[in-house]
Amino acid sequence: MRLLTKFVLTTVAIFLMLAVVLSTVSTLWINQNTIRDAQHRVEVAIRWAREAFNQKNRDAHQVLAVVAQNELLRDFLDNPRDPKLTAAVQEKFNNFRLQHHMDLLNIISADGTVLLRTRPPFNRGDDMSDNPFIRHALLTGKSIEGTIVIGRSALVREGESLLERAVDATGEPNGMFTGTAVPVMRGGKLIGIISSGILINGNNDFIDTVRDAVSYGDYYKGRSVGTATIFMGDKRIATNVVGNKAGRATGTAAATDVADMVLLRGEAWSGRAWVVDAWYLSYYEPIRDPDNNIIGMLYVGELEQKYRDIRFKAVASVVSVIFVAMLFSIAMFILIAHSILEPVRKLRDATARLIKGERSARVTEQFGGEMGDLTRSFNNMADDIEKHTAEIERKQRELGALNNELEMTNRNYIDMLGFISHELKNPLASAVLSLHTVKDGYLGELNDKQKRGLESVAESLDYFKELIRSYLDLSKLEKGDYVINRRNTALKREVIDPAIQGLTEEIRRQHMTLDIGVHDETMVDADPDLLRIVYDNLIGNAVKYGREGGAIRLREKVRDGRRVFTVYNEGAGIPREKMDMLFKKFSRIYSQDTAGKRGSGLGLYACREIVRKHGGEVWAESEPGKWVEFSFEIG
Amino acid sequence: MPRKILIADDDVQMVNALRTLLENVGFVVTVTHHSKEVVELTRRERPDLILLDVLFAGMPGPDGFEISRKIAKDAELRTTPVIILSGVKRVIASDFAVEPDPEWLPVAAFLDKPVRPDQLLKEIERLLSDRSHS
Repeated sequence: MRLLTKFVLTTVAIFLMLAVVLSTVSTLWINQNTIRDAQHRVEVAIRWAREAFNQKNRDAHQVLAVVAQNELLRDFLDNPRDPKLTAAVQEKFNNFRLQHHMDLLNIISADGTVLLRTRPPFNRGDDMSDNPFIRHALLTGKSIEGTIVIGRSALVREGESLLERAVDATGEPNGMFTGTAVPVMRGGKLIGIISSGILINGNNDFIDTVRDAVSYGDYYKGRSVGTATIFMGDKRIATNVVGNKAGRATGTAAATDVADMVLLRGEAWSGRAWVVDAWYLSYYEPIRDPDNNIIGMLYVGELEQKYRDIRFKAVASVVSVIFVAMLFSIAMFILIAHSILEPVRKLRDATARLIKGERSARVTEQFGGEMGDLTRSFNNMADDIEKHTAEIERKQRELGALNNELEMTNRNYIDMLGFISHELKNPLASAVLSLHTVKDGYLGELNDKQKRGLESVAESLDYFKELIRSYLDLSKLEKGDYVINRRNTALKREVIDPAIQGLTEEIRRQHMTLDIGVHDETMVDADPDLLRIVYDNLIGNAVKYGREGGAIRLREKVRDGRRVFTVYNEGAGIPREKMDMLFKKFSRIYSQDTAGKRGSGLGLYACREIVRKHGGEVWAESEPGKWVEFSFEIG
Repeated sequence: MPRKILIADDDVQMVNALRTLLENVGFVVTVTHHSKEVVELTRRERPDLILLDVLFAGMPGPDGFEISRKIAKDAELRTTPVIILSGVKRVIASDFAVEPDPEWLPVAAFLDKPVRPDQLLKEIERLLSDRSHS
């Protein structure tokens, strides 16, 4: 894989992982935050709602506290049966009631009897001391405000219209009132009570005021964001939650688990609630009457959809910001990687060119920083390589020339050796012939002294002849162009027999026995002329250095699956320390036993060269003073 | 009647040595140092045997092998035995066996220089007696 691809893939993987982690973390964070935030808002909302709820009573309370000082009221309490006074109070306080949007405004005597109702049909004379507000005010002589539920008969007494409203709204003949009762005092003595109330059942104005304290009537996707509801028991009696039938959802019941928690156990309930047709983040708390009985619930809710959408938008924008940033970073990284890798690529190309042998390959671009250092180092290295290679080539050329010269010299030496030896052969041949013509008596009988003299000349000429033969062999062998012509050769007939031909007389003279253990039918794949040189030398040595009267044995053997040919003779043998130099050029092994017997120092060298040219090896074994055996195998 | 031997060799010393030996044992000897004269001399002198060198140095002309082939092809001369006497055997590249051969080397014998007198005389006697029997 290309370096760039690897870089980019790695980075993309890391960045994507980072993006996923970041996104997850931010989503969780946003979720938690929005939920907490929403919950917090709902808790705030319920406080505002409660405040708004209570504010109505506080307003009424303050107003009534002022009214309680009114002289007309006091006069009326002193003379409740005065028709003129009654009419005046009735008119004045009815206007006052309407002005302050109260459903009730009653004046009650110090014994709890209703002296005057400002609401038509102006029923009076009944006892109201069982009303919690009145009872409290009568007992304590102090003002009270709060919420109560009153039953059907009490509602009827207040006015049929209120019963109708309550029943219309919720189907229940009970009414929940929020109201106040303020004692009217004179000289430290309670002379009456003035009491007001607002029927909450079906009171849209009331509940909308409460709701507005929470959310100011915002709508979201056709739904009110903030909702408020007042329950009487578990029944919605005033709400701005819109019901399924496109009206306010009054008369419907709260969820059982909520009702259980709030109405029975008196605790607040908060959480998600399915309100009619949507999820709301909700808060319910109990509404208690002055006797601390739970009579209903106050509910506020915030449309969850809004928070969900906000949350979704937040998450979406955070995640998209993260991903855009990541993509941007990846793009930047690719660009940077590309520019970082540019010198690497140039280096790679230049290196490849250099390896291919283009010695002038360099990185021509200038780069900064470490990459610049690297390319400069590369260029320096390439310079060095070019310089050194040129140097090496020059030296190689010099060496080649020198080698040619040396080869030529060697060739000349070998040619000279061959030429001289050949030239020496002819006079030698005539000398030998003439010598023997004389010695053998063809030119007249010789006396013994003359014969001995000529014998020694003959010996010298024999040695001379052997030398020439060795030099000729050597010159042929050392000519590089010498080709060996291997063919299927009858070892005994074509090689051994001709080799011993010239030696039989000497063998007889030395009383040696020659035992040829090579079969007539033995065939070897070899150059017969070269192999004859080997046998010439080995048998010649055996005769020359062998013990007088000793045995010479020629054998063929099989050793480790290979055919080995041996030439064995009894005699002085070869000292162990001389073994190593035996096959070296111009090496002569001198010993007392061989004194006076001289060789050219080339015979065994020629043997080894020939055997090696056949892919084989020649070696010698000896027991000094007893025997020596030369062995060779050919590949 | 003395038998006649033709010696053809460019080596003067060799020719002299051979002549000394052969004349002393009773042959009549004719010599030449020039290879191109050999066939002509043979036709004129009608020797009983020819001793022939292989390589003739210096002058242009056929070598001993060619001469032997010419003689072998000549109807009148073909019965004359030829002994090649040469040191050539070890000099020429040994990629063929240097042995008498009816086509390539139609000679009676091939003797390697240096040769011993008894060896040479034995060979000559053998060839001459073969010839007189036939």
